[in-house]
Amino acid sequence: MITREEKNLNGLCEAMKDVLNYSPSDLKDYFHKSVELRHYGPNDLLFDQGDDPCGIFSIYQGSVKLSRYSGKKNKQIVLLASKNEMMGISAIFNKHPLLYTAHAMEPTQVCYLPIDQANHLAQTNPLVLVPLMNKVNEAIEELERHTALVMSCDANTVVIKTLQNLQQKFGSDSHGFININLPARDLANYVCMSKTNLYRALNYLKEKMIITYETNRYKIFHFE
Amino acid sequence: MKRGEIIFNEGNLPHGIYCIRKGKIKIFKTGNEGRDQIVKFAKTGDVIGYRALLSGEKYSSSAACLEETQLCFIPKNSLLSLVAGHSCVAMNLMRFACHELGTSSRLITNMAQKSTRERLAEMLLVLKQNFGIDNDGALDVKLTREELGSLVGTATESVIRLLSDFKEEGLVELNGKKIIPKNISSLIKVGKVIDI
Repeated sequence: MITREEKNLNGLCEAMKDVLNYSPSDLKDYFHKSVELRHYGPNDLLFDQGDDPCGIFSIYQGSVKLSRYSGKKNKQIVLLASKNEMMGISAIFNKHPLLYTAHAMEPTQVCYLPIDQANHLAQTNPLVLVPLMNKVNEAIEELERHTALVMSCDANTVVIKTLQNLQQKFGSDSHGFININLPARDLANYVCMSKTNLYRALNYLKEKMIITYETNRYKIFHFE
Repeated sequence: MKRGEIIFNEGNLPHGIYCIRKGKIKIFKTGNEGRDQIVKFAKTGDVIGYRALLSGEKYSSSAACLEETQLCFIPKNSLLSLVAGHSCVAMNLMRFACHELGTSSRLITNMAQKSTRERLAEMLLVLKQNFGIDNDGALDVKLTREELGSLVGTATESVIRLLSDFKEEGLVELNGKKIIPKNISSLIKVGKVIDI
């Protein structure tokens, strides 16, 4: 169930901080009036691949999986996004349909800036585009790094390095588990493996005392 | 610059961006075991090195010439002045980045769930689309079998064996290092290509 709130977002939009630093005060006011906070439950849809661009989504709290469909059946999780990451920028400025389908992975709050306001900000102050471009570049970098890993390493290395990257990005909870609720089928899809091969790698790493795992949760003990 | 020359190295700080006046370039990452993984190509008209420059970080990949290449270099300060003063420059760089994002995400989606044979067939089509064909009908990009293996995520020996299979099946012709695509519709079928 998606609920929307209109409230004072001052101090809330950490993720937009870089963008605001480039804006004069009147634009900052404009931004704060334009942005809204959206709440999503687990598995709620934020937007769909192929839809027209609608605005910039910036994660304030929670996590989002971005999938891409190739044909009707093949779904590939391409990015796992966490706090402060932005989505939807590319479609707006490249004027093309949305590249991904985005689903919340847990209760998630997102700052949303509608397309007209995003365009207004960019046109009024071109330097606003620099931090937005850096967000796009971060996503490209993550995609390239992950693709290189998947294409060039053996299954055990792919799994442990992916878990390391996820730990770096999402952090760990008080029990040392990576702070992301990631079902095995999604992890298998993300690392481009069958579930059987994923479990083979997870069990190998568990036997070697490198990791442990429970349902949807993963913990790294030691790996260099 | 000549074939094989390095334009920038992973881990170095950027001092400007490079516009490719003429030529072809590979962008690659070096893995822990020292093996290169090509992540993309750039060709005439493309801009490289702007991501690290704008984010103020080190290069996350290396770039090397695949053939004799001419580059225009725009120093950091000149570029930043251009971006600040001309919204169209900033917007064009943004569109460039957005296009790259689309290409990278399409690549992993298309390649991730396929066998090596399917990936190689698809990669030949991608190379044909990106670089076109020369007067002999061959792919107009000089890649070693090792580089092709790195692109597809497999060993050099596997690429050689698969290309030989493709030749026997009439999908391609091989002339030294040159690869001549012969039967595009079959390559599409083998590669299970939906969109490139």
